Amino acid sequence: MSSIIKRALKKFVKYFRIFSASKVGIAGLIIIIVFLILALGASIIAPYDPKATYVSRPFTPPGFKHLLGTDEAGRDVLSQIIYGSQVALIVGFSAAAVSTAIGTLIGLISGYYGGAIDTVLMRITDIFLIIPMLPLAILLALFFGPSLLNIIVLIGFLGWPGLARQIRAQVLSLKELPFVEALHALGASSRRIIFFHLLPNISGLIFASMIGGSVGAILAESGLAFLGLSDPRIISWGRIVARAIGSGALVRGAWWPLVFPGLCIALLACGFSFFSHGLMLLVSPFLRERR
Amino acid sequence: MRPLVETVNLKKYFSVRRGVARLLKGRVKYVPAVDDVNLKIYEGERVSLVGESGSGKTTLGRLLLRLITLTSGEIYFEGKNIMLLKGKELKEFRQKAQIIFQDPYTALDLRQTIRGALEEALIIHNLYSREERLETVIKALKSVGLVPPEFFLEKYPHELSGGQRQRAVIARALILNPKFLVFDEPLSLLDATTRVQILNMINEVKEKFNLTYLFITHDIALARYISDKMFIMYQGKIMEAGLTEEVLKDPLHPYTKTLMMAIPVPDPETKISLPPKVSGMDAYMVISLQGCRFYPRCMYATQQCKIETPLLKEVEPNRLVACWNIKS
Repeated sequence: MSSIIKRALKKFVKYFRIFSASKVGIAGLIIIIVFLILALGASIIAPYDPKATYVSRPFTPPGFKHLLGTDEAGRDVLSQIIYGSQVALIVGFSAAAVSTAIGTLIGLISGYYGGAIDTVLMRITDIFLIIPMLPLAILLALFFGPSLLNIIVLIGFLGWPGLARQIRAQVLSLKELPFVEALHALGASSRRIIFFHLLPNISGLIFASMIGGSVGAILAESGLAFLGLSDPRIISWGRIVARAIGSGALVRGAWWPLVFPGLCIALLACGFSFFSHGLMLLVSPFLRERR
Repeated sequence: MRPLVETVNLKKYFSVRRGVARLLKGRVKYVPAVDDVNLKIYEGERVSLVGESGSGKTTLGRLLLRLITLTSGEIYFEGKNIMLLKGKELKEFRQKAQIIFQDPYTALDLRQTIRGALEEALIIHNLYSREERLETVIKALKSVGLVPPEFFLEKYPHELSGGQRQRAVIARALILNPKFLVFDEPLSLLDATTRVQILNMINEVKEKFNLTYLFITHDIALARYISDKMFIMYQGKIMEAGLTEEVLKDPLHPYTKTLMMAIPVPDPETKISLPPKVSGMDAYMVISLQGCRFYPRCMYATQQCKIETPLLKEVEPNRLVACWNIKS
C-alpha cells in the first residue's frame, strides 16, 4: 500500500517539476490558490458581514475602515468580493467543466467515427448552437426557481457546441496522420486511440475552452443576476457590479464597486490562463525546454 | 507450399468526384490505384515493390495490412481472407503483420516516450508482465541499434534524429515478432548517410528475426540490396515480376528498362540517356482503362497495346511480364 503512495508521490513530484519550469504557470497556480483560500476561508478573512447593510454610509470611498469602499447600501465591498469568490470558482469551474466535457466527447466521437454518427451528432450540435440563452434562462427560473444550479446547467449545456466543432475539425486532420494508422496496424482499439492519443493531442483546445468557459460563466452569472434570474441570496462579483450600476454608482463617481469586482474577474481569468501554460508543458513534451 | 500473403484480382479504385460535384456531373470518375493485382509472397521471401509515385504501391501496401478497404478481390494471409477476420482472429493478424511508414516524424505520437510507444504494442496484445515488458522493450531497442537502450527509453520523438526515430518505428513493429512486414519507403525521407545505416540495420534484423517483407520503393537500384524477388508496378498494375538479380540483369518490360535507365551512373563522362519516347505528362493526365497502361510512354507500342490490356504471363520460369511484345 505504501509503495503505491510512494509511487504516486514520486510521479507527482516529477510532474510538478515539469510544470514548475513554466514561471507563468506557477504565477497562475498562485492566483488560483489565493482565490481558493479566500473562498474557503471567507468567514474568517472577510472583515465585515457581506450582507450587513449600512455598516458605513453608502458609497464610502476606499479607506482604512473599508479597504475597497462600500456599495449603494453601505455594505463592505471587500467582504462581498471575498464571499463572491466562492460563487465565481464554483460557477466558473463547474459550468466550464460540464461544457468542455460534453464538447470534447462529442467532437472526438464525431470526428473519429465520421459517417452517420458524425452527421447525427453535428445536427444535434447545430440545434444546441441556436438555442438562445436568455429565454431558456427565464424558463428555467420559472420552473425551478432562480438558483445557482440552474445557471451552471444552463451555461454548461449551452456552451459546448463551438468546442465540439473545433475538436471535430482537429480530430479530422489528426486521424489522418501515420501514427494513428500505425496504431490501427498494431491492433489498438478505437477507445485506446481516442482517449490515449487523440485526447492528449487536442489538450490545447480543451484548456483554452476551460479558461474561456469559466470566464464566460462568471460573466453570464452576473448578467443573469442583473436580470434577477440568479439566486438572489448569493453574493457574486457580477451582482456587486450590477447592483451598483443599477443604483447610480457611475453618476456619483463611485468607481470602486465597479472596478474591483471587475479586476477580480480579470485576475481569476488570468490565473486560469497562466495555469494552463504550465499544464501545456505536461501534455506536450516538445514544448519543454531542453536541459 | 501455401503463400504467406496472397492477393487475388485485388482492386482498389478511388473515386475522384465526390459530394456536390458528383451530383452535378453525374458520372463518378475513378482512379485505379490498384488494378487486378495477383501476387504471392512465400514465407522467408524478401520482396520489393518498385514503381514511380502514383503507381499505387503504397495503396497496395496498406491494402495488405487491411488499413483501407478494397474495391474488389481477395487478400489472404496464412490462407485466411483478411477482410473477413473479426475479433480474436483480427487481433492475431494485427500481431503478425506490421507496417513501417515513410515519415518517421509523423509515425510516432509526439506526446509519448519511446518506451511508451513500444510498450503500448505489448499492452494492446496483452503480452508479458510489467517487468518483462520493460525487458522486451530494451531488447527491441538493442536490436535496432538504439544503444544504450536506457538512454532512449524516456526520450520523446522530438528529442531524436530522423534516423533514430525510424529505428524506433522499426523497433515498435518488430517488438510483436511479426511474420510479415511492409516497409513503405522507409529510407526516402532520411539523408544519405543515415539511409545507409538504416539499410544495414534492416539487413541485420531480417536475418535475426527471419523476416518476410514487402519493401516498397521508387528506387530500383535499392531493390538489389534488400530483396530477392521484385515486382514492378505502373499505374496500379504489376508490369514485371521475377528474381531481383534476373530482372535487373535483363529487364524485359519496356517500363522496367526505362526505370533502369534512370539509375545514375557514377561516371561524369557518361551522358544521361533518356528513353526516346517519354512524355511524363501523359502519365498523369489520363489513365485509360483500355489497353496497356504504359502505352502512351512506350517506345515499342503497337496498335494492339492501345486496345487490349496485356495480362501478366510467365515468359520464363519464375519470370512474369505484362507486355504484348514479349513472347515466351
